[in-house]
Amino acid sequence: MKLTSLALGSVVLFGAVATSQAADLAAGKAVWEKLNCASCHGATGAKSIDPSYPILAGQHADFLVQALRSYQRGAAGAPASANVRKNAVMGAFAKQLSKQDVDNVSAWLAAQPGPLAVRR
Amino acid sequence: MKFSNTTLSLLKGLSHQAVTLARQIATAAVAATCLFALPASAADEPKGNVEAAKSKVSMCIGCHGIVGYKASFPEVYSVPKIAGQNDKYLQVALRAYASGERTHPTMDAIAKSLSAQDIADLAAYYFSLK
Repeated sequence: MKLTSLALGSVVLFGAVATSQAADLAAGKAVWEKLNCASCHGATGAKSIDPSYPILAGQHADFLVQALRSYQRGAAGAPASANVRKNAVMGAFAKQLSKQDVDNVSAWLAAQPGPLAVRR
Repeated sequence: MKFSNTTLSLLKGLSHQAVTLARQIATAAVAATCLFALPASAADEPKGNVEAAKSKVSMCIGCHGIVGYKASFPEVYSVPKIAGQNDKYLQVALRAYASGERTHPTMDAIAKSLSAQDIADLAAYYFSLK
C-alpha cells in the first residue's frame, strides 16, 4: 500500500515537473511574441534586425535573466552599485515582465539555435 | 496674349503647386543628406582589427573563454557567450559599461581601460569567432 502510493506519488511528481518545464518554454515564447521582441532581435533571436542589437538565441538562460533584471533595476531608478542597465527601449519592455515572465522568456531563448559560443 | 480668368487662376494654382512641390523636394533632399551623413560619421570610428585584438583578449578570456564560468555579482550567473555576437552590439555594450549606462564592477573597470580602437578590435575579434 505504502509502496503503491509512493510509486503513484512519483509518477504525479514527474508528470508535474515535465509539464511545468514544457509550459515554461511555451509561456516564454508567448512573452517573446506578446512584446514583439522579434521586431529588433529577429524571429527567434538568432539574427538581429540591426547589428547594434544583440543575438539572444542560445545565450545562457541565467545570463539573460540577469540582463533583464538589470534593465528592470535601471528602469526602477536603482543606484549604479546595483548592477543596472539604463536603456529607454529595453527598460520599458523589461518593466512589464513578471519574475516568471523573465525566467520563461530566458529559458525559451536559451533553447533556440544560434551562433553564440564560449570560445577564446 | 489673352487668357480667360479661369485659365489664369488655373495657371496660378499650378504654379503654387509647383512651388510647394519644389519645397517638398528640397526638404526631402536635406533630409536625405542628413541620412547619408550618418554613415559617413560612423566611418570615422576606428575599424576593428581581428589580428590586433589577439594581444588584447587576455582580460576577456579569463571569464568569457572558460566553459561554465560564472560571475557572482549581484547573483551567481553564467557570464555571457560573446563569441559570434554582433560586432556593433559588442561595441555598444562596452561603451555602455564605460559610460555608466550599464554597471557591473568588473566590466566597468575593464571597459574604462579600453580605447576606442581596443573596443573596435575586440568586437571584430569576437564577432569573427563564429
